[in-house]
Amino acid sequence: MSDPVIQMSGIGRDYAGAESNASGVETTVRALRDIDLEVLRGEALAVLGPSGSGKSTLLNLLGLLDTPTRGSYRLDGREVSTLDLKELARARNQKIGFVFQRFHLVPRLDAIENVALPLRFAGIRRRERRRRAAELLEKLGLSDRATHRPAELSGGQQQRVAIARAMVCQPSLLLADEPTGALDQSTGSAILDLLTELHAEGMTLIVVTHDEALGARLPRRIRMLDGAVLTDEIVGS
Amino acid sequence: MIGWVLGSLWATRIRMGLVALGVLWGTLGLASLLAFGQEMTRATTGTIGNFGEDLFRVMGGARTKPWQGRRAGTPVRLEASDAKAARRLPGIRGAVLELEYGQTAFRAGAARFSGGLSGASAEFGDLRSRYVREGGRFLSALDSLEKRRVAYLGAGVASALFGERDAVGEEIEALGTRFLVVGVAPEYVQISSYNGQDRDKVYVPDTTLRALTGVRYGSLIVGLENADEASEVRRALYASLGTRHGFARDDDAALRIIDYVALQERIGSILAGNRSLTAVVGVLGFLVAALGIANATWAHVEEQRREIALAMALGARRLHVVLPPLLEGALTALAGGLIGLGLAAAAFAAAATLDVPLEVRAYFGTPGVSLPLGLGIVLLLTVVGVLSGWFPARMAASVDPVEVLRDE
Repeated sequence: MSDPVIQMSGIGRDYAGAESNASGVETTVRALRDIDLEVLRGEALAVLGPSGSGKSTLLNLLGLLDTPTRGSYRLDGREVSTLDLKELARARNQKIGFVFQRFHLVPRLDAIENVALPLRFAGIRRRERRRRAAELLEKLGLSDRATHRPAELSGGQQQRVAIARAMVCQPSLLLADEPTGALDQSTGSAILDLLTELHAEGMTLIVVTHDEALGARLPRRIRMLDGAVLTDEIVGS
Repeated sequence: MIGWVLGSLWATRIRMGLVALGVLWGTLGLASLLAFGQEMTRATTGTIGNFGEDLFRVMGGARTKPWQGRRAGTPVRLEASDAKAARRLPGIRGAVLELEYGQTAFRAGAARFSGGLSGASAEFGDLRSRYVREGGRFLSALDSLEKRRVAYLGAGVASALFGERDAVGEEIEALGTRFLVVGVAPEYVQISSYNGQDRDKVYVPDTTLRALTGVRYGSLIVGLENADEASEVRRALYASLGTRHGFARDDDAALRIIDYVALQERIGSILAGNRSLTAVVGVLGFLVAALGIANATWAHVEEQRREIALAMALGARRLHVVLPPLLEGALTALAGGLIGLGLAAAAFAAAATLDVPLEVRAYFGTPGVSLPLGLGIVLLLTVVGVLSGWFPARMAASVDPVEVLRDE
C-alpha cells in the first residue's frame, strides 16, 4: 500500500475582518472548516466546487503558499507548521509543482529558461538546468519551441511549458488550479491527457476545478461547499 | 542566484540606465562644486597669506578732542619708537614702522619706471610675507644697521626695468642714488593693498631712506599672535599710543587702524558660506537622486509583483526576492556616481592644463577630485543606493503570492 503524501487533520482557515454583519461589527470569515484529507502517493484527485467553496484556499494550503489557522498538515510525513521560511521555500521548490490557470510564465525568459526556473532556486548549475529542462520539453513535444518566449507560444504550448516547469524538480505532488480554464476545449482536453499521463507514470496529482467534466476524468473527486468537504468519492484507480 | 538577480536587473536596464544618467549628472555637478569649493578655500586662503597673516596697519590721524591740556587738531605721527613700544604689548608678535616716500622715478640703464618707494626692516619682511625669487633675499637687519644702499623690487618693477633678466646683482637708480638689487618678489596676487600693489614698489632699508630723504614718520605694521584677540590688541594699541602721543582712548580719529584680521574673517565667512551652500546643494542632490532611484526601483518591483509571487511559489528564498531591488538601487547609484566622478576628475585634469590667468588661479586654484573627496562621494552614493533599494526590497518581500497569483 502507498504511503500518504498529504495528511490533513482538522484544518481550518479563517480570515479576520473581511466581512461585517448587519450591525457593522467585523466578523471572521471561515474559509475552511475542519478539513480532514489524506492523499496517497500516486493518487489523482479533483477538488470540485462552486466559486467561494474554499477549493482555492485548500490548494494554497496544500501548496504551502498559505498557512492554516488550526489543524495539522503533514507533507511527506513532515508537519509543515514546524518548517521555517527557508524550509518552506525548499519544500515548495522540491516537493510541489504548481500549474496555474493563466500559466504565469516569465515573459522575459524563453521556454527552456522558464522550465528551468525552479532549478535556479534550487541552486542547480546552468548546464544541468538546461539539460533537464530540455529533456522535459522534448517529452512534452516542445523541443522546437525551447527558445521561444511565452508571447510566441499558443495557450496550449504555454500551459505545457508551465507543466514542464512544475515537473522539473520531480516533486511529490503536482497541484493544478483550473489548468484548462484559459484554454479552448480541444487544447484543454490535450492538457488533461498530459496530466493523466503524468499520473499514470506515478505522479500524485490534485486538480482544483469547477468543471465537472474535467473532474469526471480523475479517479477520486472531492466536492466542497462553504469551506467544508461535502463528499469524497473514489470511482476507480 | 546570480543569474536570477542579473536577469531581473537586465529587465529594467533602460529605466535604471536613465536614472543612473541622472545620478551621473548629479554626481558630476556635486563633485565639481565640492572640488571648486575646496580648492577655492585653499587658494584664497593662500592668497590672503600673500599679504601677511593677522595684521593691523596703524596710521596716525589727528587729535580731535582736547586731552590733558593739549589742544585738538594736532596731527599724530607714528615713528620707529612707536613700533618698539607696540612690540612690548601682550598679544603682539611683531611691529615695525614702514616709511613711505611715495611715487618715485626708478631707472636701470635706459629703462624707467615710476612706482612706490618704501623704507622697511627685516622684520617687515617676516610680517608682510615678502617672498623672494630664488637667488635673492629680502632686506636684512645688517642692511638697516649699516644703512646699505640695497633694494628689494616688486615683480612689476623688476620686469619693467630688467625684462626677463635676473635683476639680482644689478643696480637701479632712485633719489639720485644707486641701489644694489638684492632680491625680487615673485608674481603673486594680493587680496589687499595700500598705496598701490606690492609688485609696483621698491623697498630699501628704513634707515637708508630716512638718511636720504629725512622721512621719519610712517605707518605701523602690527602682527597679532592670535586673531581671536584682535579687539584686545586694538584697545591696548590705542591706550599705549594714546599715552605716547597724548590723545583720548575714545578719540577715534587719532589713529586709523586697518584691520586685516577682520578682512580675513569676512573672506573666511564667505568661504564658509560657500562650503555650506555646496553641502546643502550636495545633500539635496543626493536626496533627489535617492528619491529617483527609489521611485524607479519601486516601480520595477510593482511591475514585477507577479514575477516575484511566482518565484516565491516556485521556491525562491527571501534573498532571491530582496536582493534584486537592493542591488538595483546600489548599482544604479554606484554606476552613475562612479562615471560622474570619473568625468569630473577627467574634466578637472583637462582644465589644469589650460593657461589660466594668475588672478583667476589665485582665487580658484587648480581644482581636482581628491582621494578623500572621491571616497566620500562613493560612500555617500553607496548609502543612497542601499537606502533607496531598501524600501522597494521590503515591498518585494511583502508580496503575497496567494493574492497576486489568484486567477481573475
